[in-house]
Amino acid sequence: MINVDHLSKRFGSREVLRSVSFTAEPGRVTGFVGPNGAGKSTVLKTIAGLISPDAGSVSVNGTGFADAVHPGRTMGVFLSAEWLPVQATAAGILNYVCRVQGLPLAWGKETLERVGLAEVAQHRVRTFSLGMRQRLGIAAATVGRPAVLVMDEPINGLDPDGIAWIRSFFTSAASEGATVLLSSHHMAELAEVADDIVMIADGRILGNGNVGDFVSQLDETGYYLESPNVGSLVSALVQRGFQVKRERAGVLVHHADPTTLASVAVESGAGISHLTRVTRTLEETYFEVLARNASGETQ
Amino acid sequence: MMMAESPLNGLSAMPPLQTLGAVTRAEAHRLLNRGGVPVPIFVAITAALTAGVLTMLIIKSLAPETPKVLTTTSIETGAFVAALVLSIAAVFAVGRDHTGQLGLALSLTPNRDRLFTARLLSWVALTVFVTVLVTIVIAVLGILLSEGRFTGPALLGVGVAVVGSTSMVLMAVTLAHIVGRAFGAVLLLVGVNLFLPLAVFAVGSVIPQQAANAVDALINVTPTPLFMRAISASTIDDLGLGHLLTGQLGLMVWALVMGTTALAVFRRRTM
Repeated sequence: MINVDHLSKRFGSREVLRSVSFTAEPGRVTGFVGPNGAGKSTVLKTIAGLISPDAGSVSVNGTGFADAVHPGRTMGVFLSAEWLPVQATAAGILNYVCRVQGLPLAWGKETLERVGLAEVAQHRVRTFSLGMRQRLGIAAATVGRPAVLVMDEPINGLDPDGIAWIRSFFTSAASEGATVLLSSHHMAELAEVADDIVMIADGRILGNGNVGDFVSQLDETGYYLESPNVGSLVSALVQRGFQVKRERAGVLVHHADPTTLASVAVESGAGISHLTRVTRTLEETYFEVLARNASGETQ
Repeated sequence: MMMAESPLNGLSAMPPLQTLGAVTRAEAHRLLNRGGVPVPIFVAITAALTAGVLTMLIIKSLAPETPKVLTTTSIETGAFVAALVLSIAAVFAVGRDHTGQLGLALSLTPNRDRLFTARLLSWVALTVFVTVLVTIVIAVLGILLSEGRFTGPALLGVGVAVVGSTSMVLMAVTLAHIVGRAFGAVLLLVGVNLFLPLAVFAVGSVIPQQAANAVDALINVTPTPLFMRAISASTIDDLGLGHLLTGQLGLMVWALVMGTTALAVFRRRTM
């Protein structure tokens, strides 16, 4: 479990984090989202002990990461592919990771095979594509079989195969009890794997909780209807006080229940050929929350 | 392409506790392997041996009546060249790490004191290895050329060269940790070790005699003169052991002060 408790941080006069608090639970994948400059990387680096907060604290499975007696087993961190020394080979990096943790070097070799880099193990990192570097960074973070994973934009540069692999990798890790904290700008991908979501902007948490709750927090579930006579349907709905929006061959209605909508369509004689519940995607919710935050609305 | 596999597989085999020894060995291996400093090590050994042997040949041809000085001076020359090359390599390698490798290393060894100490110790091990190798080879050649005589001074030369070189390289490593950038650290290294004594000397030559004495004293406590003094086994007959030991002590104080400063900076470094 990762517990972030009222983290605050300034860089010079700029307040980067403002009392940021959240928890990433074991057995769940927690998505960490926010626009560029929101403070995501600062939070992740603070969790990894690379930045000291001005106030607040972070604990990983109950203690500070710096006090971990098995750091590699406690938490695997992948924050940037640029942190891999380009002059070293993939095998050299994994050997270093194993030696530092007192692990058999064979674990590094197995991990390179797992991420599909076994054939280029003796190649220098400078010859790798971004996707290959991402895989190597993920390999370095996971070779110690950590109970907590912290990943910043891990799918950047990965091909579809790699994305599919990493998706199942994270869900599989969480299903075995690992805590996975995953930052990404790829909302669609995040929606596929995340159980929980933490949203940050301007250094403060805007939303936090189960993905379903997060998406439904705006309470704007709507229904999309199609009718052989859309014009009559629209008139009937407006007459009954519904706010409607014409969309393609149908109409979108918010704040209504489906039974009433169907009744109106039948009673008005317009008829109904299609009725679907329309919910926001994670991405739409994200942008809506951001927009509301920018306009000063509170959640 | 790959199988989805959990990072938790194999949990039954708990790794040993992370120790300073494990991290030091990992750092030392990293220095020796590709991506480390194998080329500078080769250059240091080759250049130091060449310089030592050349010194030996020159002294033998110019002053064949001084076989004792021939051995000790050649050891000093070899040790100086090795320490110089290793210092520059250390500054570049440690400075370069600050743009990448250090973030990875800190995420694997979050205890900063442990990582910092391990990095220093790995350079100590490397310096001791290179200096012992170079000076022993030169010492053996010197002893052979002097027909088995002066083994004691040669061994003393090896010993002080190893200790002095280690202090010099440690200063370079800690300097790079303080500066955090390879280029800046190299400039500072050259500045402290070369331009500072020259600048102080230049000032001393244009000021009154009394002040010039103070300037001389100041030059003598800068790292390069201290290093020359610390490894000068060839001067023991003329200047005594105290001259050499104060050089060693002065270098150690420099290394200690810079090491303490570097540790304080390292603890606070933000990646």
